[in-house]
Amino acid sequence: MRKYRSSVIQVLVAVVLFAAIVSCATFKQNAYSTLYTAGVAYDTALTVAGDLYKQGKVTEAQKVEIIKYANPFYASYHAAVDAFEVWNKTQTTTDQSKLVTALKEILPKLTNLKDYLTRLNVKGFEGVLDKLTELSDLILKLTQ
Amino acid sequence: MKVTEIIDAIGDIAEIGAAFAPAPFGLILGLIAKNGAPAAIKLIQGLGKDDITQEDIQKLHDLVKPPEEYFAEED
Repeated sequence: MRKYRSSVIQVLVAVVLFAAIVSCATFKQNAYSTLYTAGVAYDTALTVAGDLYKQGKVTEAQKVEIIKYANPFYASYHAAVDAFEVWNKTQTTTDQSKLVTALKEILPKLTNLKDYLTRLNVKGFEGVLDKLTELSDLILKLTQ
Repeated sequence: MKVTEIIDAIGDIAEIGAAFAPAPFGLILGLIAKNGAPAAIKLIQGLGKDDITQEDIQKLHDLVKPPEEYFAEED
């Protein structure tokens, strides 16, 4: 019981820490958080997909399709990181506008990838798909 | 206590936390429950940046690898 109570306190500490982190966001932090969240979502999804492929649960044809849906995200993500890098140096409103546009390009690409993974109906993806949905919602909030 | 230590400590009851905590806290705990601590640690570390350096921007690039790499057999 004492161990459980200690663990609950540790969870609360983590939650408070996270709340403190997200509550003091600026545009720069939001942009960075959006990119990082999207990157983690993609990295997690593709890591699981790669593992399932190595276990023989994802076929060669499905792998090709996953890559087909992942490539647009990959391109738009790195374009957005480039836009972030440019704005971080210039801090101009023009470059900020370009960055916002680039950030908004990411979400539909991630959604397309998630939708394809959902259609695959491969056992092992369920948890990742739930998290992708939550991460997509978080990205949407950050870019609004 | 470091964030990573906290995450490691709560790993065993992450399922309980995911059931009770609202998003986005549930997201973090859910990530731990479903995918292990590394994904959650990455997220927390990323969101916690308040002074973003060139090195951090490079990390953003490094985070997202070409899709083919995820399917490649390791040496």
